Amino acid sequence: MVGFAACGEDDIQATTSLGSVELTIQGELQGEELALESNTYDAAGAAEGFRLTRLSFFLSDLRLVEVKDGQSLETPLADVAYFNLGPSGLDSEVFDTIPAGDYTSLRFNFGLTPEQDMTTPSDYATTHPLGESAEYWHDWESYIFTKIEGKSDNNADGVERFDDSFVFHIGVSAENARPGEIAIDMPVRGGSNDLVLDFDVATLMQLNTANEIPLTQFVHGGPLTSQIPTSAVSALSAAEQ
Amino acid sequence: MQLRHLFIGLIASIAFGACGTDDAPPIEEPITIRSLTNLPYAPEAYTYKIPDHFQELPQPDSNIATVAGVELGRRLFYDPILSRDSSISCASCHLPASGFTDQLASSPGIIGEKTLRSSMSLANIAYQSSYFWDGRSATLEEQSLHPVEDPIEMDATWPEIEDRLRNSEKYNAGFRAAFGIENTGEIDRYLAAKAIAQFERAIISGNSRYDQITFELNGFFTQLEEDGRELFFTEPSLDHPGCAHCHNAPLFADNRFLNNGIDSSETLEGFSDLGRGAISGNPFDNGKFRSPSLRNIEVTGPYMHDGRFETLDEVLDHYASGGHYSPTIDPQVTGFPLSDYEREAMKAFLLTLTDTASLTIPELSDPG
Repeated sequence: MVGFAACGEDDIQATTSLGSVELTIQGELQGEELALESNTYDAAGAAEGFRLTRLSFFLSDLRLVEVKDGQSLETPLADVAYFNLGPSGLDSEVFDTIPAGDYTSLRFNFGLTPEQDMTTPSDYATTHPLGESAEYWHDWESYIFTKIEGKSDNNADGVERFDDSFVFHIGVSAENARPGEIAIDMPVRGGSNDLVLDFDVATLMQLNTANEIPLTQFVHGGPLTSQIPTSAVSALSAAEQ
Repeated sequence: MQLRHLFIGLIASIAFGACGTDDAPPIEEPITIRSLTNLPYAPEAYTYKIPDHFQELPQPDSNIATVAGVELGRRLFYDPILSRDSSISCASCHLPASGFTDQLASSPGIIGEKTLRSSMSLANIAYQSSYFWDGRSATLEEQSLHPVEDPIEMDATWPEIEDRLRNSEKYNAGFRAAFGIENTGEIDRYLAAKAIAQFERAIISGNSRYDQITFELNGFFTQLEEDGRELFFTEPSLDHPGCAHCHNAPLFADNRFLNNGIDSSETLEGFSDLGRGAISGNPFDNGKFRSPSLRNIEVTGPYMHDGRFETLDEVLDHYASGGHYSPTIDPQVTGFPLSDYEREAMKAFLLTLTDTASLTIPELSDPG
């Protein structure tokens, strides 16, 4: 009783209005929800289609934005989040202690900040997003921001056999981190709140453009590595509620 | 606590004693429960000895290691008391000098029957997020329960092992010191598993030549080793191995399940061992297995989950060939050219992962 009495009314109000936000990334491709490994998708160059086997990435410096009195105010959501889409093409992270607000956009970096990229997994607990040693490439001294892996069937022989591979691994923040902002409509008044972002893989991999990313390459450098982060930002959008 | 257990034992005795017919189930002896409060319990936190370039060692809040807990786990690990006929222990298949493997393709259990898969190295097992080749156990504590009741391995039952431990003065004192229990009735499989897990987390390997050169800046690779290191770590491509993608430093493992192309199958169901798929139920996990740590690879052969490759040459030949096609083969297994020099370089580098000291650490050895 004494403890409660010591709190001012404003303190109690602030505490009770904190909420959590579950940020979900839902992959989609060619009009359907993405299914890793099991679904076959069309692409020029893959005569009998391709399958994605892995899609993972880091977002950093995530902030929720609300506009008050004509001013844009940022509320930190998380320093970093790691998404590794599962067989059903989605992954989610929950962020706690989010103040009440009428949030109208989400700002982020696709990839890591230079400061984060200077650290190594040994600086973190194994449960931390940056503690995942499989996402750190020692020879680059960099995290791998994005992994896109899959297999394609490039022979038009009528036999479904996915025996060609493509692997895009992209890192190094100075060159390949990209800022982004997505319009959202998310009032938070405590409790649990959902924020779902669609991740359009066709846009990510530029499957609908003449500038198509080849499906038979291992890519860790060169011009393609700068295309993917840029297209990744465009590929993210708020899902229709 | 002690009185409550004694009372339950007495009631059980009376209840069974009331059945007098010949076809009644056999009368079970009431468990003799002894107080342990006269034995010492002075918990002291155990500090795992991990190198600076390793992450903080994860341990569950429900099983924080103590000196007595690790010591109890060590005794259990080396004691054949856990097998039905007291003939084999955990260490029978996980020998320290062999990098905590048994250097066999499959391991013989108490009657000589062979396990389906080879015994995995326990080095740095604390950092795994699941256990067994197929990841069927989510925690080390859960994993520790299984071999005891596996009919091919120890073929015992936990109730009989619990009785043995409750009737052992040595273990009574050990469980009391480790967990502060007040009577022998509290000794059970779960505390035994906790103790074994505490001990196994102490099996750390992080002081190989690779570690000394890379992280302590102590010494240099030979040119051959350095060339092998570059092949191992440098960005993979269609003509570059890129082994580190699945065996990344510093653990040289990645806690994932992959099909590395060792079995050929045109269909999802055509694998002789479904591996991860049998656990997850996802047919696209069929043929996938944990990518194991390569630390101490010099002494942990034969290689692969079924020990099919006797030598590192065979392993390198397999990956250089691009493996066998199956619907779930990993896209990173594509084959690469491998000259004689590159082969020797790769092997030379892999041998720098031998951590000789970790194979003979006195605190991890058989307490006798």
